[in-house]
Amino acid sequence: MQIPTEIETLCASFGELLSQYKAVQEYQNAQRRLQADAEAQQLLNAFIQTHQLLTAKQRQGKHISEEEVLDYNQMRFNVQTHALVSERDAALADVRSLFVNLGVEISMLLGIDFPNLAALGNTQQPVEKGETK
Amino acid sequence: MAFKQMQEDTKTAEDLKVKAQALAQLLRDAQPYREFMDAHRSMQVDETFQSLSQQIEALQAQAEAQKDNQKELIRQMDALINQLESLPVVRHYYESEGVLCGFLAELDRIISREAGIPFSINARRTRCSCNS
Repeated sequence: MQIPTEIETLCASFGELLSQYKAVQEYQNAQRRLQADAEAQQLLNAFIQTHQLLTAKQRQGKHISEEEVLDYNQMRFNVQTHALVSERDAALADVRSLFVNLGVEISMLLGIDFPNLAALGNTQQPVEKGETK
Repeated sequence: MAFKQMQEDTKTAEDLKVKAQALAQLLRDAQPYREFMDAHRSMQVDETFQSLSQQIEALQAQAEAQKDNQKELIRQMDALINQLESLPVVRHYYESEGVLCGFLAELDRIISREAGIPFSINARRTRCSCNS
């Protein structure tokens, strides 16, 4: 879709300004630290794989054993309590707080839910969790 | 040093708010937004749409009150919803919504690319814990 130049320029400068915000920079640094940590990556990948496996089983109506549930909960706990994951998630919470306020600001002036409508039209995958420029 | 950083953050936050407002102002004149708002207005004032909406609401209230007759009421409601969704004004509304969503998604891609982090998906007020 053709985007009017004026809007494109404003979106780009809005994004650029976001990238300069401290919370965004802290999130990106936390994300980089997390990505550089082999142990944390292994933990995350194993958790994602298990999550996908169990979700697929559930969709197919297959039985999920108690042991699988316990293992899954343990893995989730290990991921959530990993120092680098916690750090990244805390930084992301700050970013979201800022983004939500800005989304509300835009939505209020337009009378539509900008973030939800954009997300509906967007094929990009949800966060997981931050690509860098 | 900490105070200076705080001042800078406050300034950036204020700048961001101003930019967000400017973007909204500009979007008000964008064709996909105007067409969507027109379609919404046309749908709201359409007499058949209003009548069907009222009938659906009435059936919904009945279904909540009459638990023993719910199946039949839901069947009637589904038939009315189908009628409502096939109205030209409603179809036009959905089409214009689709175009608007695509347009906003394009803008979101530009913002996110420059920000280095997806914007809209993180700006949603309600999120599922699975991140969807």
